[in-house]
Amino acid sequence: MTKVLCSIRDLSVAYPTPTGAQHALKSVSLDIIAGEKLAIIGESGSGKSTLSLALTGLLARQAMVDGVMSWPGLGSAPRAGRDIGIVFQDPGSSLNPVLTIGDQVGEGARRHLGLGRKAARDKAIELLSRVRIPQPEKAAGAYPHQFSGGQQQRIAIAAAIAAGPAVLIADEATSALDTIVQAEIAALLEDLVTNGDMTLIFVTHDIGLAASLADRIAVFRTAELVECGDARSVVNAPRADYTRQLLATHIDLHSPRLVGAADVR
Amino acid sequence: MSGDLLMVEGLSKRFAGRGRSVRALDDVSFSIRKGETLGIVGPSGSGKSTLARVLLRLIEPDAGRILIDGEDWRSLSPKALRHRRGDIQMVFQDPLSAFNPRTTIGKAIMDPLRIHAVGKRHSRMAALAELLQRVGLSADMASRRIHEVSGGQRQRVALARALASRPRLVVLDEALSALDVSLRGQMLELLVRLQRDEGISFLFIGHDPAVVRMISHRVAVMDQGRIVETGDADAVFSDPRSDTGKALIAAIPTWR
Repeated sequence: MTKVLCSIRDLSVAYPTPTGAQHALKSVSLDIIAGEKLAIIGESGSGKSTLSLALTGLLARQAMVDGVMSWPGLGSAPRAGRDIGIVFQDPGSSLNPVLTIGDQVGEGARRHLGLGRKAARDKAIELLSRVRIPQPEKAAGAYPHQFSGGQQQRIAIAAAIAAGPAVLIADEATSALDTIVQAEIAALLEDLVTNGDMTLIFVTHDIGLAASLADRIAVFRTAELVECGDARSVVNAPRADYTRQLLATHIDLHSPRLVGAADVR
Repeated sequence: MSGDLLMVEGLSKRFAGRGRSVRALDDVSFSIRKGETLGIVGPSGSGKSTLARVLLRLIEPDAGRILIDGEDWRSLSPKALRHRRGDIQMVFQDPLSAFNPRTTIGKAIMDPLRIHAVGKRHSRMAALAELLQRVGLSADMASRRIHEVSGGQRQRVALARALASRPRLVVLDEALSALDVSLRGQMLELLVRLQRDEGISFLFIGHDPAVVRMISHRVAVMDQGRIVETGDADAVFSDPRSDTGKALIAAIPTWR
């Protein structure tokens, strides 16, 4: 049985600009199914990040919002950090450089679960080991700059899931990482969601990554939802021209090389 | 005649501080022929960007030789280096931070023409228009500021500026990584066309091995400051020998 976690109907988000309102999302309707891995894909300016901010309730104050977003799977609107965790592209700017890893990862648990200092510390260590940070006890006392980019992203994920949210949003969370670390983080997200009874919303510009990770794919272009469906059918039998274009421009090992040995003088 | 434009031998660079020491480059040797693209792939922290900066002489290496057309690049006097800097140019990942935000695109591209004394003053306007055209931008772009144009256009401006001094080698350090997929394809085609027409050599550094494969004749795989594998791009990507090469290629996402 599929249970609808979040139902979005005719959602529009616009920002005021000197030349009039600029739409970041235009009457988007989409159901998010509890427990699924949903990929949101699109290029710059497609509205994919605006959607993740709207879901988390983190839209800028001047944003003009229209339409309905209901959460039948939760009963009420989610509280950011408690019911919905979010991980952004650059862990360097989401972690506080002057707080220890343990304090930052435990913060969500203290605030939302009411844990005391000691219990929050233990919880942080448990979370760090769940995201496979080596020597989690020692890591809890260290600072962000002492970790690599990939490890920082693991730490940001640990902080995002500290309060046991029902939804985890990863907004280009692997884009700044090299392919090896990207694959590791994708596998970690998959494991956390499958074993932690969470719903994953994976925002990316990479249709290859989306296809290898997600159950369903929603394709966005210039503020509109172009198509949404089962991941396999979206890539194998795309309905929208734009999706076909994205697949054609995706670069992987099957893409034709542009140069050959004969070019060199 | 070997046809080598760049030859690098035994480059090493160690960064030390707070009791820690990192070998960013460890005995790195390779060559690039005229009109050839050498791709560099490797995980974060493998030394790719340090290599680019050492070639540009933005960082001095601890040891090693850099020969350009047989000439020792490291022993050039500051004055001679200033004259020759135009031979090697670089395009960075983030064009927004690579430009003076207050200047116009035209001025940003004219500066290297002036500094490297390419042409006479009156012919530089024509050179500017030609550079913009070569990277697929219209001439009226010259009066705009860098923040007024799109990300894809910005990176074309960065390329036009790099080409202004008529370089023999352009180092592209993650130059396409911030671009949307459709723009990335267009830029790759532009680079290949420029290379075919003008015989420029490229050192193409990227964290996405699939992109590097498309444009490179040969590829070097770096890990922990060392080149662990090098060969024709076809061979390296179809049958990687090093563990790093295998891991990088296995991790390339695909929808197929």
